[in-house]
Amino acid sequence: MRYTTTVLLTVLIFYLSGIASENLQTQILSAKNKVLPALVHIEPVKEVFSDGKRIKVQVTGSGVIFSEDGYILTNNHVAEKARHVFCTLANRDEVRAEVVGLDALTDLAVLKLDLSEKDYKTVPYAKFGDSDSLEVGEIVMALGSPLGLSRSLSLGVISSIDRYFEDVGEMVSPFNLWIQTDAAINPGNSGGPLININGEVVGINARAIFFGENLGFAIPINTAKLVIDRILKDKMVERSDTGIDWQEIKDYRRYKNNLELEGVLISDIEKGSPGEKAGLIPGDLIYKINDKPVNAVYKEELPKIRKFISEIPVKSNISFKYLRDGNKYDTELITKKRGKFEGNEFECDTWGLSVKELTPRIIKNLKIKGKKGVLVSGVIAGSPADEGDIFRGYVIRDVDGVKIEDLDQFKKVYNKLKKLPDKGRMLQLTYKDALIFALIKEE
Amino acid sequence: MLINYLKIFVILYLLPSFLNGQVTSIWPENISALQTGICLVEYFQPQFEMGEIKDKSRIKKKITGVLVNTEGLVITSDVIYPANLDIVESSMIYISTQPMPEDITISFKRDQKLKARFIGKDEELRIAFIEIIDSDSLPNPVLFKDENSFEVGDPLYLIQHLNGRFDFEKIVTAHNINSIIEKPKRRLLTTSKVAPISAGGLAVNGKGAAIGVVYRSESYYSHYEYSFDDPSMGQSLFQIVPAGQFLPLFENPPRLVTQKEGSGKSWLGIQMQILTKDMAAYWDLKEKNGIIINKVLPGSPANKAGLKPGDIILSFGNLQISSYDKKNLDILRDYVRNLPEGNIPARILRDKKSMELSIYLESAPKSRFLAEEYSDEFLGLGVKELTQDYIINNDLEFDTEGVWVSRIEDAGAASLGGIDINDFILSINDEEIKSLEDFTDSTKDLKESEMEYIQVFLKRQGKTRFIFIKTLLDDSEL
Repeated sequence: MRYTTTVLLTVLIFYLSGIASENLQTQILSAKNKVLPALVHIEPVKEVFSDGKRIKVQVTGSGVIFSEDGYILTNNHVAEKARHVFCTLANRDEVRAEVVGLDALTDLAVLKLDLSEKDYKTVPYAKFGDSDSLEVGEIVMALGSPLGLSRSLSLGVISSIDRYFEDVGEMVSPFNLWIQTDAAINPGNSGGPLININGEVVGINARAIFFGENLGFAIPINTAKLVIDRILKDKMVERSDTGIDWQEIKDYRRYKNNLELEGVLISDIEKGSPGEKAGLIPGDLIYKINDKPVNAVYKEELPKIRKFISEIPVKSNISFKYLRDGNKYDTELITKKRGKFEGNEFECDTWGLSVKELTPRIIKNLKIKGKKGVLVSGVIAGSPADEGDIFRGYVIRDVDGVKIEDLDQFKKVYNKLKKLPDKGRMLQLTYKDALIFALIKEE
Repeated sequence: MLINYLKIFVILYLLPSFLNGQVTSIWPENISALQTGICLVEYFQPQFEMGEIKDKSRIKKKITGVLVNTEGLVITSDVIYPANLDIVESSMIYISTQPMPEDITISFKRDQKLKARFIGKDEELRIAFIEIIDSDSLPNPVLFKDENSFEVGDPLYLIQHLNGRFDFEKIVTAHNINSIIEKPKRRLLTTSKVAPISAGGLAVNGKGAAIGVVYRSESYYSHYEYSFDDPSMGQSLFQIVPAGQFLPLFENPPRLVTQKEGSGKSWLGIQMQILTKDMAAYWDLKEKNGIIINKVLPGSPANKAGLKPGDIILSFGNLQISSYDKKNLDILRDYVRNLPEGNIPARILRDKKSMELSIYLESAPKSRFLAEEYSDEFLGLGVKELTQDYIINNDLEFDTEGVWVSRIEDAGAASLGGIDINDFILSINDEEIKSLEDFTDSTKDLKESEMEYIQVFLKRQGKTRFIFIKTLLDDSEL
């Protein structure tokens, strides 16, 4: 009897584990089969500026088709500045695509395949899952072209669902937390899908940590859903801005000896911004926005507040309730449109320099006074601009007495004045408040 | 040929026999008499340490000094205190603290150690002044000759010290003047063929007259020097300051300015560029030579006199700009520095029109090196009062008042709370910080207050933020 039981149990355990492993294998294969046909390998040719010269470079990334008429979701850093985008589908067909819209603040981009080229009526596409219901420990797979090795799959689990990254330079993610996974993610995986065991796309792989092992990060697909909606409608994502920077209150509560405090702390307010005009100052504790309670005890709770404000239509009223010195106040402001993130660039080949649009971010980071002008983004060694002692980081304000407004107007001025007369062209530039004169002359 | 070869050879007076015979005839006879006024200057240089709020280790250094009067005044190279006392136009945080030399001793002969103290230095001449405290029984001072005529090829003898390998013995080397640099101030250059030699030293001409002192090359920073044994590492040129430039300073040697004083030198408060020949032609100017003003610092003498960016300075006081040479910028700067406080006439070009104006020169603000530092061990940070150079480099409003973080102790309370070097502190526990006194006032009772968290409001890279420092228990309480 005892013997029989043991045998039975043993058989049962083997049988069950057999089912389990077969199940997992089947599930992985089934999930892969749902998404792999919609995976694309993207090789955009980008136009970039280096040391004052315009050069072309080819990069490799990944993407996923999300509609039968051929819309692709990928990373902004894959598709930005692309002149042509060639996509290789899972069946190895090469199809040209156009960039529909870019969103640097979420690092997402939407492309559209030119289906007429190959006489396709429809293409296979992947379905989106719900990234808000993910759990740490869930099995996920990353699909893409790591280091250019197309149609690769790697397997892992979700390591974290609420990873927060501070903005550093051009690596920004103000509105979302990140999904962390140990599924191997390498350069080239960028823009590829992170899928769950049901074969639904739950994230877009975008970052990894160099010298770290199995530390990959994906943008939650729910962040992408809204961006896709906006891009399909307007070709871009317009956002509201108040000029306010937010800080979590974890330590503030302890400093105030009040662990019950709820709200979010203002850490910085841009000069002349709607926030400043509304009379708010750093140190104010906002506890309601548009009568909706807000609370950020931990920094992981900041993106949702920023996102909430950014999604309020531009130029609409927002009301704030806040605490200052223990007293309650309220105020209102009208949001402004958030400025462009990345500016366009332009090559002035006869002068030997490249210039860039002044965006609010550049103006802020380089502490440039005034909004008019164009930024020198590079100077060709030995060129007339170099001989005239022009350096990267200078802002061109005036060319031969013509005031420079913005990049479009500068292009016109340049095209009219690019030929250098014997006496040269006088440029007035600024650098850190200093007005610098530079004469550009043919040698 | 043989003689020339021997001339450049090291001649120790440890080996007097070497001086005999054919070589002696070409050396000035009084070289040995001059040597008695040459001394070895020993001092300790505290080492700035990242991650500490106090300097705990220091390096012993030795250089050559020259006794110049009977009261015990010694001149030497400014490597003894290389901090730039002018307002500094770059934000190199690592050298924002330059400790003063400590425990200076002077020896003219073996086993002698006379206590001395640092007085000050001349920024342009790169010469430092030291005073011997117990000045009884000093040897005869070196009497300098204000020699003006130098020519490339003139013989030149340098008296310095060897390094520790040779027990810091004096060494006399024979050279020729290899080059004469005129701008912005005259310097004599000669090649250095002996590596293990001290900074500082006396320069003697072919007739045996003391005509100048040696200072280090422009690129020298003591900060990078870890071996005191070989201070001239990587150096191949000696630069010599002719005596005429420093003789007038013996009466009243430059002194380090203290708190609340200016630097003692005048300034205009402008950034400038040279008017080039092509620019003068482009603008079709009658006056061909000048200096273009790029920036006028708020509150500076130039600002008060109404100078504007784009103005072209044609002449300033007795200085007429008369070439397209970029050196004119240094020449104007040096000229201004040495003018006394008061009105100076200037001629400028504004919108192609020549105009005369008068500028009231004032003393330049001091640099961060002279700013007072305060270290708070409880918080594990050091702060310095704001100086003009910090304000300029960090694009703060010119009349900003406050303190900035100059030191952070590794894993101290401030460091753990997230405070960084260079942060500009605006308030502590909602008390505004406008001066070093404000800082000490708001931090002195923190330890006793037993507050668990301290709120610091600060500015970093143009953005404000709050930092909450968790106060740590003393090690004894753990």
